[in-house]
Amino acid sequence: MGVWQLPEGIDELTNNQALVFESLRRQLLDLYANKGFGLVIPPMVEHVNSLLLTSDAVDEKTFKLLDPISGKMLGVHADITPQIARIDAKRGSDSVEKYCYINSILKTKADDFYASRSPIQAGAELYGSDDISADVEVIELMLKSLKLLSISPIVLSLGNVAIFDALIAQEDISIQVVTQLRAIFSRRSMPDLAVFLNNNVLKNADLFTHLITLEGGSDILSEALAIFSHFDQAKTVIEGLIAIDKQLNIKGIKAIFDLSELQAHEYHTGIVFSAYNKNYAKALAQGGRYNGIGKSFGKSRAATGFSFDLKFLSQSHF
Amino acid sequence: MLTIALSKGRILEQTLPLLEKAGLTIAKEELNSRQLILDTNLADVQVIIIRATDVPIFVQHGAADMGIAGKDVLLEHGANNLFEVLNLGIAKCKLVVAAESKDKLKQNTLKVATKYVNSAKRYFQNKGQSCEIIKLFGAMELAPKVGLAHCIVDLVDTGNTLKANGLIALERIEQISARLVVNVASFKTKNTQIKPWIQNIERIL
Repeated sequence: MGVWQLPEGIDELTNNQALVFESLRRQLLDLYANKGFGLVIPPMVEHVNSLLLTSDAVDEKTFKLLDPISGKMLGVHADITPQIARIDAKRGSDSVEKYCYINSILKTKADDFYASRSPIQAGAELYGSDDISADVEVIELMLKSLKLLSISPIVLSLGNVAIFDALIAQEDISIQVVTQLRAIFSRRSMPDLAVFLNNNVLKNADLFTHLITLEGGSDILSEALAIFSHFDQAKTVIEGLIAIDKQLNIKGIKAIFDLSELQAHEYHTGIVFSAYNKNYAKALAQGGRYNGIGKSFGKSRAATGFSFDLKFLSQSHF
Repeated sequence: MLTIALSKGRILEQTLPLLEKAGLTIAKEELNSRQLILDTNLADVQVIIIRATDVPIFVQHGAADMGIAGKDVLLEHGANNLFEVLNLGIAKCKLVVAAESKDKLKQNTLKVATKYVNSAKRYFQNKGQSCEIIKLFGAMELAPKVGLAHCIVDLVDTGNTLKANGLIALERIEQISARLVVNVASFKTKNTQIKPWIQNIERIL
């Protein structure tokens, strides 16, 4: 192995690649600043407990090391969102706070074959508002970010994990069984769901069977409303999606809906959104609502935001 | 253009008539040619015929929008970034644990010969059984006979090969059949092209 060889999954940008990246980074930061999102640069390393929250997925992807000074475990950030939660809690504000960042992160394993273990995560987060106008604001900013990167057209997909969570809350099943069901929904496996429902007695079996099929244009929301007419929690969530759809339409943004979408981070608690383009085999940017994410830092607030790998997307210019 | 990845071999023989019923045919000359990307009767649909184990990889990375693959392959691969939308009910078999007798499974650390390394590891881990996996690419049934392993994890259709080698299928890990899989991004960006295919195939099952 040559001394110049980088570790697996670690890459670098040189010459024009680096110049294009830097130009896009500056344009994005200008865009976020103009929209009132303040720049934060969280540390690369901090106490591991602060970085993980309750997410097993983030835990698995976090490099850990022992701090020789304090004897405590430190982690290298694999996701900026938990750090923003800490920063917001520390600030202690009760009003709306908006943050943005573009930082190198490090992952023990890449998200997929094309992804790096050292992506540069760009994102924006809005704390202190549970209103759908906050979700619309970050969705719009996410789409503007992708437009700035010259990626179009974008297919915007919206879902809400709260429907699945509300159905699960009514079931008397173990965490292992819930994990199994989440995995079935993540791969939208109707055959596996049928087998699962044969082997497990669930009160809401019919509703789970409907939920996994609910995807398409905004017309599926009225279908969903009819299916969940006797389930108040789900009804409220669907009405929220209808309201968001209306607000997006006013801004000229069209979305598709996928009510079985659970692919986002475990810390999401409500609406989730992803952006796709036909030239890419995966979601380009993802986000959603994660109310209460700052609870472990002593300040539980409403929060919504998005992120994407700027290093990966900037390379689409080559 | 919609690209569909099909698995070579036995599964292909059962897949082609199914696709034909759904309105997709591949000319015999195309099938017999050495080309790797085949045209179909539809101008906007092409087919690639590859090894079964490669189908989830092609679909996951968007090299194909849809694919037909056995559940055994999907379980082993992990099948991220793809939706498993239909059970096609073809190429049916079982993934089983087989040994010479039940007693052979009573080990502190079970030695298992298989090509389904991940599936076997997951199965025994969930049971709380320590195991060591020996990866083999064929003639699995030989492993217990020559003392290489206590048991095997393999696909069983009729069970004749197991019987001929003095093995019994003792535990069923999974019922296997072919699945229609779709890349997540293709499902969202080519939904109007893909959905009719799913509905067409579902109708004839």
